[in-house]
Amino acid sequence: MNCVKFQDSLTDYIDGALDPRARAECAAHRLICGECRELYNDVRVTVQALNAIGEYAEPEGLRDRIIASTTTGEMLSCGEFDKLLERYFDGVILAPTFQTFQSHFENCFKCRRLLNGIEEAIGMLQDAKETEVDVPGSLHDRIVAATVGRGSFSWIARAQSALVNFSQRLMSPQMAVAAMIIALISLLVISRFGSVSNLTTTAEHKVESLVIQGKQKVNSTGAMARTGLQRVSYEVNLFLFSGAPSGDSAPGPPSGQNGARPTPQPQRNSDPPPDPADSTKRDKQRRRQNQGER
Amino acid sequence: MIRREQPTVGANAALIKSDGELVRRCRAGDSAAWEQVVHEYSRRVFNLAYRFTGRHESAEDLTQEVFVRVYRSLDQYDPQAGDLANWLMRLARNLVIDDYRRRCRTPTDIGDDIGDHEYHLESRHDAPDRGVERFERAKQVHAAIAKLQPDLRECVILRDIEELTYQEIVDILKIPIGTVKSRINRGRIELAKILRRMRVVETL
Repeated sequence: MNCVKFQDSLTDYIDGALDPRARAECAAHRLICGECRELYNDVRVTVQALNAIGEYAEPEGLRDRIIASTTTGEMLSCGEFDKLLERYFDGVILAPTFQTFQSHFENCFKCRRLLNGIEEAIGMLQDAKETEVDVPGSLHDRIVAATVGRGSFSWIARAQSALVNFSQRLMSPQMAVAAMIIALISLLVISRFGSVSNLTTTAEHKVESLVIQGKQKVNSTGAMARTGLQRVSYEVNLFLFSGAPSGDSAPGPPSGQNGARPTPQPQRNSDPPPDPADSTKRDKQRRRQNQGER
Repeated sequence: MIRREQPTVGANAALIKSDGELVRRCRAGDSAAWEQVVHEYSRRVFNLAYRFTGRHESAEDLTQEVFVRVYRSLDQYDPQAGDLANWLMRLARNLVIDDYRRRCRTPTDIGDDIGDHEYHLESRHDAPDRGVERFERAKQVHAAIAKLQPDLRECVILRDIEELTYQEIVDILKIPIGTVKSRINRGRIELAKILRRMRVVETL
């Protein structure tokens, strides 16, 4: 046995944990080697001193401190502290609860860090709200290039600036609101019509029927207008040619119109009958008017 | 939960009942019960903390921290798994060692102020049966322990002061038993050498 081996098994030797053969070897080495004998004695005394080390009385007030920090602060668990946090920031914690809340805050490192972190975050948000980000120096040029100086820019540059402008617009709160409104409307539309394609087909149907209705309306009013005009011109003609036979009072248009016809009056008289459709319509209208009067 | 366990009357029913009852009353907010626990264990926890911190204030803070954790973990105490002392001291040891290792990773002036607080502690020394000489020695041993390198120190404290078994040390430090054994051996030898240099050993 050498000194290194002796020192390695010193603890087991002192504690009596060695098997008889190893113990005998150690004992032999202890006899031969003065240095190891000294070490053995020192370690034994040291271990005895360690074993015998007394307990200090705990400092005055420590017990009270412990009790104070546990019975008030620790009555509140971290989970309960979390629940109270919101109310704390709203400023609606009642006084007795606040005491335990505060006491827990003072005693619990984790909760202290949490609350401080939240306060910091609130402060940072406030800062962020109050400060505006500077406009990048090149933005103005880019806007001008994208709007006015279109021709002078290559399409890549234009696309780039358009993309940048678009993304910047995306960032703005107005865009966010607009996007939300669009999303909401599309949601509503989808919930109403099932899908967008359904919407378009229904819209197409609506438009078609509207167009047909419009056409019908136009046709009927056109017909009405035509019959009205015909009636008016008929009346005028009647008046012109029957009421004033020599006809110098209104020679212009009728004479110009009927210049090709030497004898317009008899023809005019026979004019209304040839259109049976018109007459029936007129009859209908008269009937309608009568009905209205009745 | 604990209340349900109480009807089981065994050989050591009295002990189970007292610890279980004590903890149950603590959890119910009985301050007298909790004060009893604090009075019973504060000295042991403080001394444990002092051995690892080597500083009076740190030990005090750490003791308070340990009791706060104990208070918060009372619902985890199972009276049938062992007595309160074992449970509480095991928890305390784990917390103290966690703290110790945290401080070792971020080295400060550990042990530097042992001398500063010698007088402080001595003046609070209230055991009349303990001779001043013996107290002086204990103080010197503490100072020597503070000079040990951290990994040796924790093993020596746990083995020779706290008098834990190897297995208990393995469980707390979560290192192999071979490492524990060799650290204790090296720690003892180192400590003996330190004490010799301090000319303490001759007087022990």
